[in-house]
This record gives sequence, structure tokens and C-alpha cells, in this order.
Amino acid sequence: MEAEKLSLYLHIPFCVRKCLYCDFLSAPAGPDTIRRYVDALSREIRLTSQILGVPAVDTVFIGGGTPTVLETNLLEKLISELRDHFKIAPDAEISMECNPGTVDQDKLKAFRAAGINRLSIGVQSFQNEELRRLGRIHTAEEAVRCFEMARAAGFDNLNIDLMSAIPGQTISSWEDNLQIALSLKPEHISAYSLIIEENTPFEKMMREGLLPDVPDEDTDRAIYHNTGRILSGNGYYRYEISNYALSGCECRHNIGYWSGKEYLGLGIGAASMMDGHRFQVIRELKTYLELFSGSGENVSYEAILNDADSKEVVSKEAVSKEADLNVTDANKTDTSVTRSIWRLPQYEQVEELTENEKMSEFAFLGLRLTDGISRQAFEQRFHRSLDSVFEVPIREHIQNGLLTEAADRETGILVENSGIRNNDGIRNNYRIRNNDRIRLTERGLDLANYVMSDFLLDEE
Amino acid sequence: MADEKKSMNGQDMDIPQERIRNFCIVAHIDHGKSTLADRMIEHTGVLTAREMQDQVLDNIDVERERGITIKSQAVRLIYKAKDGQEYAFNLIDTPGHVDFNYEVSRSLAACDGAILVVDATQGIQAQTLANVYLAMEHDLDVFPVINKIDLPSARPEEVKEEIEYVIGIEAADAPEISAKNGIGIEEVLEEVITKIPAPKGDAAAPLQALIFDSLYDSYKGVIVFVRLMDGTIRKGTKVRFMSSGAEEEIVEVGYFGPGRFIPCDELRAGMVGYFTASIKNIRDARVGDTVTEAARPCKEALPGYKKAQPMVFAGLYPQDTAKYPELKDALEKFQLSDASLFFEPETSIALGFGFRCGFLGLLHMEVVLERLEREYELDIISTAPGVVYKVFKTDGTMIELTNPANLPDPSEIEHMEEPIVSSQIMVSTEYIGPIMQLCQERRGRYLSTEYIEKTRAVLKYEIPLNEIIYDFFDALKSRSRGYASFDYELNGYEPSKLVKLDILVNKEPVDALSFIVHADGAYDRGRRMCEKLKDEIPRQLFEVPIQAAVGGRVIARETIRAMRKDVLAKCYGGDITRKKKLLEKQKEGKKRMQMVGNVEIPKEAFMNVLKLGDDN
Repeated sequence: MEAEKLSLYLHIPFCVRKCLYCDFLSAPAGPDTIRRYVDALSREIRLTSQILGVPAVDTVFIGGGTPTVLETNLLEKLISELRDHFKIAPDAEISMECNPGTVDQDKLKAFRAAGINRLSIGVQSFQNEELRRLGRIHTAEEAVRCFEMARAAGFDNLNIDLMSAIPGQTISSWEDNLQIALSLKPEHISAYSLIIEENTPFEKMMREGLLPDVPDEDTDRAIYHNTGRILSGNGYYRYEISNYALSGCECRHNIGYWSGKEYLGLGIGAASMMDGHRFQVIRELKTYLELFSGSGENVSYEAILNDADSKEVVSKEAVSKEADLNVTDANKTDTSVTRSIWRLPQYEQVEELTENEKMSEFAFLGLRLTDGISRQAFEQRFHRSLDSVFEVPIREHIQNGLLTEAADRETGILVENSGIRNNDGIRNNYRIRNNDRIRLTERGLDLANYVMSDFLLDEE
Repeated sequence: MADEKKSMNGQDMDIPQERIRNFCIVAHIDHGKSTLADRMIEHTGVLTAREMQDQVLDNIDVERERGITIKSQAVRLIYKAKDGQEYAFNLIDTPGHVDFNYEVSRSLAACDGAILVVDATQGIQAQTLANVYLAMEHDLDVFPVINKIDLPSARPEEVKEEIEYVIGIEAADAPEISAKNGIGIEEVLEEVITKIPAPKGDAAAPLQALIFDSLYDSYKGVIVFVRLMDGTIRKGTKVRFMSSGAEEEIVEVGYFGPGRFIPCDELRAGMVGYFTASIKNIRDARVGDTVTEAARPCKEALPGYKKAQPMVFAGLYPQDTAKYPELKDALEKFQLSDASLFFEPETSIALGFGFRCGFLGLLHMEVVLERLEREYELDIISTAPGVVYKVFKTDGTMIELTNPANLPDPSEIEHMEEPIVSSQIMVSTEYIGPIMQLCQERRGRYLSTEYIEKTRAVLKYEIPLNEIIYDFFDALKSRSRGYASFDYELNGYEPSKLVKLDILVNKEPVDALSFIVHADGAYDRGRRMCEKLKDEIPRQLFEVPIQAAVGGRVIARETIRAMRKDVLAKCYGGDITRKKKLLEKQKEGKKRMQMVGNVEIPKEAFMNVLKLGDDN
């Protein structure tokens, strides 16, 4: 069986200044710390790729924080480390988040030249008052200029991040934002409602009554519905709850998350999903830097893994025939090491998903996509029928109008990433079946959690 | 074997009838009844202080925690008096709550006298009066003791005057004691000998024994607590229960050691003790029944026997529907030792399978609920407690209604009657106003005010029982800042303008929330139920009206808006674990929902709405 290509996420936990709503793992840092972090990250890239047997990669996403705070040479170093140690496909999507106010024309050109082919610009709003309220570091004018510079630098795949439900925002001020975004003609627009997260300045301000008019539920939904209508009128279709794109310009990396593709996260706090295990890199910067400092390079990862693996094999199959064991060991060395990557010392919160959890995640993540989940893909992956596993929620929510059956859409990328593949990676012999998919209706999108929570299976 | 028995029993079997004293202690709650009992036990040396758990006579955990007595208990003490003689004291601890008035009266009937304990700081309270009158009704010789004299605010002289003035018994020489600190205990013990008469009765006469309590033991079967008026019982005596006519052969007789049963050879006239006879069901040895010898019966049964009647009814449902068999099992076990607990299966659209249960009163109900939760770890939803209504139908028949759901169609009802109680409320004069207002609100009929002293008065009211079982005690407490005490007794039935209040959720009546209320209070109650439900029921996919209706006519309405938004805007690789936890929480929430029609109602909502108090 041909191995599925891997997605990579690189976390750059630095920014110029924390925004008031931000609960990401990110903080301002000096150039020395940033340099040391890039060194450590490079070392993590090298070590993990070795252990994974230099896997093929088809999407890379560099996120943060604000990855564009990296100096050009540091980013170039990271990209070349990636290219040296992973088999990055020639047509791979290599995305990077970009904060207006941290880049100039030269930097953008250099990033493009280094191989970044998709830029996601964190605009949030085109109104200075709203930007100020969010605690952003840039103005609306800088955001527009940033976009234009990115185009000029040769980026032909650009996303604009917009935020709705900003305190003080109205339906019409939101639509102004949307119109300005449309006038720039990006390939992709992400539009999120602001979530006031715990332990952020916004949460405290909210409690103290310092946030003006947070838009209510009705305004929030009106904005959401208008957004869908306005964008689709301009050729952008909603392919995920908060993501819109011109056909063919969907973010392949993110679709991977929603369709159960494997991904490896590098850098502090980065989450991975591999071989039925979810795990994440330690969040503590200092510990991470120590772990991947030059001196630690003498530590043999292979030895750690082999040691742990052989212990496991012995304990599980203590009474099995020794001759067999040796043969199996010899043959399996490669995959058994791959399977155990979460044993590496940089990981924490390792969780092995049960079959039920895997099926639940397939469903609730897949339902975020407006194309929903494919019965055929489910069956192919789990060897059970979707309808037998989720009989009650499917029936109930089709009945109450939150779910509907649908035929596959011809968008190509969705089908390819939804787990249906054949040996040569071409979907020519894939037979489109009517009503293969279950997806959320318009109303279902408003109440997605209500539906999704019914797709969580109990553990037996 | 014989020697062993003799030595075990020798200490008191020789004590003649004239040196036996059978008595109880009566008091208002917290005036020190149990503490005094403990000290008397300690002083007579049956138990050392260290051996003795606090308040040994209160056995059930709930009793100990609440400081109340539900079951009667008895203990035999041997007291070596100043006259050099040994006396056998049978101290019978009676239930201390109006719910158990019948049990109290049977325990009193087993005694020849009573010690009246009055708190030197509080003086006479409502239960003091109720209990002392009850004791006097049973012809008990009562002598008072003044407790808590060590407290700075003690005013023993005033309290003594109060006793003489209000109750009319001699109190000038009443012992002044502190049960807590062991002051004056000997004096009390001596008074027992002089003030309380020895039991009468003839050990050779035909057997006549009063059952004053019984309990179920899984090894011995029912243990029957008796006071022998005449005659003698021993192992092998064939006895007859006079109300049922059932006959049994006695397996064991004995007396009450502190916290345990001590077998002996025989019990004779004047003695208090127990017997067992392989009786499987406590209903076969009912409190108040008379036991006689099958071969040589006494002429007539002792007076005063009646079957305990449940006064308060409620539906009990397991919160987890699958726990129904466990609830059934628990209720059956309780019933073995609680003849007044009634239950029968019922079903509710809203709550599933459960039981309609009858209790002596609200306290009895609370104790049962608490024991179900504590001893059986069952989470119980109870419907609002209701009383027994008499429904007179147009066809001339009458039904006793214990479940509002069974109320006949209004067209078939000629009229309805509800139980009324006579109540006395003892209150500091400054709170007379608020308390009178409370009684008015509860449809009370004013009878009289009597001043005990300048600052205290007894208010007498007739109040519908239904108004009392519904948070009356709490309201009384909050409106008098705790300076009121309350006692009541059932006083028959009266016609009343009663209606059934239905609560409709999305046009479907929720059976568990139906009430019988007085017509005048229906609107107010209905409105508050709707408001509360609106807060308790989460938003649904559609708009949900909540209505209160009387006889099909809507009298109050609230509306729960449809759910608008329930979606997480973002979910990428690093978020999945956290978002999944949120969804799991939501799923758990759904599991606690009960479908009523097509509306999901959290089970707690029923509890919270039913708990709805008057003063909030």
C-alpha cells in the first residue's frame, strides 16, 4: 500500500505584540531567541525526518504567532532544512501566515523565492477603529499595501483573514470590510466570528464591561448569512464553516485536518496526528531549546525508539515464537519506528485514538466541510458503513433539517483529500454515487455543534 | 449454658416490679433530650463515655445528622439509688416530630411517666407544649427539668414560672441541670424514682402487651418492641396479634442494652423488651397492636390502635431510568422496617417509570429521599409533594386523590375537600405581624392569640395541610429569623375551591408538573412556574411556548426562543482535542435530557422547578 503523503505544520511562536483576543502560543522575543529557536526547529526537522524515513510531503503550513517576524535568512534556512530532509512534492502547497506591518517588498520577494507559494494575510479588518480595538499592530492602509506587495512579489495564491463580531461592529461596517477584501481579488477568504477565549485581555475586559457592544447572536448570524451570499455572488464558495475560495484555490493543508489526513507538527505546541495517535510538542520554549540544543544531538533517537519498541514487542508477545519475532523485527524496523514517533522526548499529551474516536473525528471534522462526509470514503477507511455506525444522528438530523444527503461535487481537491484515492492517485476510476455524502444544511451550519456532538460515539 | 445465661441476666432479672421505671423524655427540638439520655446512660455505667458514641439512642445516620429521632429506641439502665437499692430504668426515646405523632403516642403509652426537658434560655416552645399535652393525655406523670443552666442567658426561675403558668405542673423544685456538662444528672435519676410510679400489672394474668415499635433485621426477622401490661412471655410462647389475628411462636425474648439486644429468659408484666418470632414483614407486627397469648388471650386489646396513614404523596423517579429496579428494591427494603411508607408503581411521560409514595409528612419524605441517595446511591427526582384530596363525584362516589394526574374530568366532580390542620405557632411578639401575614397567605383561618409572657405568644390557626407541606417551615423560619416554632395536628377535611394546574411545554402537558392548587393561587403559581421553566429549559431547534393552564384555559405563558447559533468558527489541527472536549460536554448534557413531546428538558429542570420556593 502506498503511504499517504504527509502534511507538515511549523509553529513560529513569536509576534511583535500580543493581540487582545489572542490565546495562541505566541509572544514577542529578541533576535537571539528567535535565532536559537530556528536552530532548534531545524534540528527537530532533521531528527524527526530521519526517524520517519524521509517521508513524502504534499502540504506545508508555517503558522504562529507571526512567522513573518522571521528574518529572511532564517526563513530560507528553515525551508531548505525542510527540502533537505523531507521529500517535498514539486506541486506541494507551502503556506505561510503573514502579518501586515512585519513585511516589506524585499522580504516578500525573498519568501516567494524561497518557495512559499501561498500567503495568508491576517488583515482582520479594513477599519482602523476596529483594528485598534483588536490591538492589531497595523493599519487598514498597511494591510492593503501588504496585499498589493504580495501580489507584486509573485504570490498568486493569497488569503485574507477577516474577523467578524468585533466589539462595536455592525452589519454594514462588516460588509464594508468584505467589499474592500473583494476589491483586492484574493483567491481565498477566511471569515471568523471572534471568539472571546479564556485568559485573554478581551475576556477580562468583557467581564469588566469594557468591551463596547459585542454583536449579539442575531447580528452574528445575519453577518454570517450575508457573508455567504455576498461572497458566492462574487465567485467564492464556502467550502468550510468559515472558509471561502475561488474554485480550485481551497487550502489543501487545512482540508487535510478536516478529512483525517496525517500531519506532523514541528515547533513548540505543534500538534501531530499520525498512525492513530495525536500528540503535541511541549509548549515550554526553554525546555524545547534545551532539548534541541547542539549538545543534545549526541542523543540517539533511534536508540530511544528501538529500545521502547522492543520492550513493547517483548511485553506483548512474550510467549510468541522467537524465530518469528526475529524475522518480524527485521522486516518491520522501518514501520515500527514510524509508528512510535510519539515516544520521542519532545512530545506530550500523547493520545491513542480508539476506532470509535477515529470514526467520530472523521464525522465531526468532515462535517465542517460544506461537502460533508462521504459514505464511500468512510467505508473504505473503516470497513463499516457510515449509516450503520451513525444511524440515529443521521436519521434524526436529516429529519429536523440540519443534515442533508448530497451528491459529490466536482471540485477535485475535496474528493482527493477526503480519503478516496486509488493506487496511482488519480481519481479517474472513482465512480460518483448519487447521495454519497452527508452534509450540513444552511441551518445546520448555524448549529453545527448541536449536530456534531451527536456524532461522538461512546466507548464500549 | 444455664450458668452463662444466669450470669448474663442475673443483674436485673431479680429486680422486682416495684423497682422498675418506664419513662420517656419529652422536649422541643434541640432542648437537650438526647444529650440528657446519653448522660443518664453514662452515669448508670452501662457504657463508659469513650465507648459511647454521641447520642446512642439515635441510630440512623440521617437522624444523627439532623438531631432528630425517627424510630423509637429504648434502653435499659440499672441505677443504684441513694437508698442502696438497684432500679431498672427503661428509657424510651420517642420520635420528636409531628410527622410521627402516632408513633409518639404509642411510645408514650408504653411509659408510666415522662421527664419534660425545657431549655433554660428558650423556655417553652411549640413542640414542648404539643409533646407535654400528648404525655398528659396518656396519663403519664410528668416532672420538669431545666436544662442548659450553665449558659449565660439562662433564666431558670422565669422558665419555671412559665411551666407552672402555661402547663400547670409543679416546677418550683425542678432540677437545674446541664446535660452537656453532666451537671445535676444524679438529681434527675433520683427524681425518676420518686416522681414516676412503678408499673402496675400482674405477671400471672393473661398476656397483654403493647407493640410500641418494631424493626426489621435481616437475620432475626421483625424485632417487636413491647411493653408488657400483664402476663409473661418467654421462648416458645405462642402469641397472637390481636388486630390481624396472626399467631407466631416466640423465638427469643430480651431487653435493650445500649446499641444492642440482650436475650433473657422471660419478660414479665411491667417490663419493656423485645421478642422475635420469624416474622417476615413488619406489617404483621404493627405499632399500636396488642399481643396476647394464643392459648389464654386477654379480654380486650389495648386502646388507641390505628393503621398509620400516609398524609403526603409524591412521585419518586430514578434520574437514571435504568435504576428503576434498584429503586424498587430500596423501597421494598425500607418498607420492611417502616410500616407507614406506602408505594405503588406509576409512570410519567416526563420522568419515566417510578413510584407514587405516601409519607407521614414532609420530614418523613425527606428522610426517605436522603436515605435513598445515601444508602443506595440513587439520584431521585421527586414530584411536588401533595396531600390526599377527597374528590366527591357527581355519581355520588368519593375517591381519595393522591396523584393530580388522576383527577377526574371537572364535569364529573361535584366538589373537593382538602385536609386541614390545627396549628400552634409560638413566636416572639415582634414577629407576630409577619407570621400572621404568612398564615393569611397560606389560607390560614385565625383562631386565637395567647400571650405566654410579655414577649411571647402562641398563635392558633387552621391551615390547609397542602399549604404547610410546601416550604412553610422555611418561610416561617425566614420571616421570624428563627424565633418561631410550629406544631400541628390533622383536623379533618373541608370543602375547598381546588383546581388542577397544568404546565404545558410546546403545547404538551408535563404530567410531573401538574398540581392541585387553590383557585386563588393558581395564576401566581402558574406564572412563576413558567418563568422558572423558561430559565431551566435550554433553547431548542424551534420556538417553545411554556404555558400554565387550568382546565384547558391558559393563564400564563412564556416563550423560549429557537436556537440561533451553536458553532465553533475555528477548528484546525491544534484545536481538535479541545474542540472535541467541548462537543463531548455537550453530548453529556444531552444525555441528561428527557424528551417531553419533541422538547428536550434537562432532568435537573424538573427538580429545580419543583423546588421553587415561596420566598424567592
